[in-house]
Amino acid sequence: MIDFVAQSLPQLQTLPVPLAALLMQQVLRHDLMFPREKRELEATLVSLRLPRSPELVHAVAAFQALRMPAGMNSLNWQKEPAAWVESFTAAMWSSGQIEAYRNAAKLALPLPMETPADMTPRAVVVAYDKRLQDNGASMALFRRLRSEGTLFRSVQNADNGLPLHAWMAARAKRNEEAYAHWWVSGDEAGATPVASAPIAYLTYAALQPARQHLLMMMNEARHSIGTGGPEGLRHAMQALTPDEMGLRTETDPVLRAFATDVLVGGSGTQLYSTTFVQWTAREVLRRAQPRTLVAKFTARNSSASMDTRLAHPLEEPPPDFAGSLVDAEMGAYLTYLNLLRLPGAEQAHFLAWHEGYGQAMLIGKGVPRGQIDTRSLQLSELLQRLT
Amino acid sequence: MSQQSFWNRIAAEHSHTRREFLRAACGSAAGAAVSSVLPQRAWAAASGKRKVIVVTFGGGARDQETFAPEGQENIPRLLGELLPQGTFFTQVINRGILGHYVATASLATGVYERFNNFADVSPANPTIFEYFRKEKARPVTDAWVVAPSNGFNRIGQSSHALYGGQGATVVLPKRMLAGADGFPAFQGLDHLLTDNYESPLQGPVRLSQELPPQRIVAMLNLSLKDFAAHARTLSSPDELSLYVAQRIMQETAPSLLWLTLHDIDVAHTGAFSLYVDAIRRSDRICADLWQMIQSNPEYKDRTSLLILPDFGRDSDQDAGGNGFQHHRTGDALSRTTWMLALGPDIRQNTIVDRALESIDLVPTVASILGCDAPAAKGRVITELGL
Repeated sequence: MIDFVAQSLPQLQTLPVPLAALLMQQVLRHDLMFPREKRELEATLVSLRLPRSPELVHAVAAFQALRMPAGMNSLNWQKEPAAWVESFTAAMWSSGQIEAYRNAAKLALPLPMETPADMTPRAVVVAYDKRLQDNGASMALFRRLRSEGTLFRSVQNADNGLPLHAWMAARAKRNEEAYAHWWVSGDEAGATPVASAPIAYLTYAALQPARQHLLMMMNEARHSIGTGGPEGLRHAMQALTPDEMGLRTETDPVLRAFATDVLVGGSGTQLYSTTFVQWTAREVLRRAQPRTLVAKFTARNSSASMDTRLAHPLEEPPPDFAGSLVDAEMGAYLTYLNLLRLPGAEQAHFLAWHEGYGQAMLIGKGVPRGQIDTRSLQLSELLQRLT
Repeated sequence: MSQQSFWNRIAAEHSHTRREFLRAACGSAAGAAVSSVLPQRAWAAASGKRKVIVVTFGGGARDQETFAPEGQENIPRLLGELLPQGTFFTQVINRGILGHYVATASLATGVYERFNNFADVSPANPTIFEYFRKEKARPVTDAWVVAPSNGFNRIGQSSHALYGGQGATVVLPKRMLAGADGFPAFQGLDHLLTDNYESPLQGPVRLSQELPPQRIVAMLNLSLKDFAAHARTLSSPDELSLYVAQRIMQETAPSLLWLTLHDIDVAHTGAFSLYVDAIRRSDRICADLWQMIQSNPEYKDRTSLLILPDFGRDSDQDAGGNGFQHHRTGDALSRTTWMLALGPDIRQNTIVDRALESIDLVPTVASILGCDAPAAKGRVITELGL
């Protein structure tokens, strides 16, 4: 990492500081990035060398035009870029420049990496645990997605979810790129490593010790003098290492860092499994840009005040099946939107499937929009269409 | 699956104006030139008896979970009971900082306040409470604020040198159930003490300017024990706030009452179902409050009720956010919300599509109450016939 930082710093020093600080945050994380993230960052740094494209000239000028707030000179963007960016963002809000800052940041977004033509098209499956039920058992599923594809009203799963895992393993064996295939879930069912299939697993259940440890740390922090308020706590949390978080079961350093980011940086990921699955799926799609993702929503805990959860970190309230179904519905929709943001989305497939209701929503190339299919099908038949 | 065609379709759906979908739902009239046709307000001569109640949703609510077609199922009473009796403003834009305390302070001063949302500070500009009390020489019991505890203890009184001691009486209902350390003083009420959903450190505040809870409950003709007993029958902090507002109306009947709801901010936990539940609760609370107004002789036929979220929440389409969960992008959806106004001379069943700013609230409330708001930057909302 030291080499990469040393190699990048001279170039960053030529950029407007707000842009340099944003990039420095990423440069410092280079070693713990997913391959796609690394390539995008490296490509961005190359594109910022002189001469620049007209678009990047425009982006750099937009950062240059931001008025630097007083007091920023006391912060070191090279050593503590995250703190610098946070202070600068707050100053942008208070000085009414947040819109200009946002627009500048959008201009400087990395260009999407080209997807090789022979690459397996992306496929995302959002699975709802069969216990997620509306109280009246009559909820119309996939309402936000229906106009995008075909609703299958009768989808059987004779093998208790095994086809899903087998399908994923087959995809992973066909394309063995690291971090290209993910299984994200509220529980540990199905999260069983397959020999020779490079699948990354992350589950809310397996992270329980780390989650509880984090809640304990938050509870201690709020009773301590000099924690620096919400911002101070955020800084302290951001500085946590996976070991300090209690992430002992995961050995892959990139996955350990990612799990730490999810628990520390994701609001509510420590409290509700549905939030964990939705946010993790979002971050996996954004950062790892996988070929395959299974995101399984299981029942989250019932609502409890943050005070209660912090004061009793080892106690988890009983499940809320009806609320979790509503969460899963929104989670599926947001996951679909996040898939659309990736390069190659026009070739991708998306399947949302409720195991208990026996219904599924299939979206993708060649799938009719706004249709309802009432035939009785096996899940494995639908998965075959996601190759 | 075409990315571009999807976004185009979304944009087209959003261009279907709020006025169109609401008119379709309610058969409402347009209110473009309302001010020119309104009768002289019959109650103008009795300005001393006018009352205003402001309700803010201190966790931003988006269109698609409220007044947009897909959200209307969450607000049956706002839509079915209140909107036909009032004027609905489809675009209220907040150009300030999208943090709940600083945004509510901006609503209360009519100026976009610029302080750190998490700081324990008063607004820099005079509040509507101070304008009203100072100019009309009203006692402290004539202007009240009921608010969540996370930082709102200073919402009633600015730091402006000309208005010292002229602020509102601020009640933080949860504080009344808590001990000196901010933790529950009564058994079984933890669920009512939820203060915030953004940071575990934004907890109990040091209340240098707050009245002691014993004094507040005495003003409301209650004992702390009775208050706690009633609280046990409630399911959320906002219901507790409504109960306190009702007691204030019964016991002191102030001319200006400001109620900030906050349950909706549970959205920050990422649980969409809890966010929607909170919107439905807010819907009930607003309708119940309107019924309380109508059944209280001190308020009936002399009270304007203004309901508005402090701002929206992030759009699903903005990649920088995470949909409903936060209000961090500053995109158009997070800045744009609505207002519903009801009152004796406010046109009924009317929809106004002109864009207002959230800072227009203070000059408007001041106008209703017959006072000036000289430092406020907003403009009087003429469609209310003022």
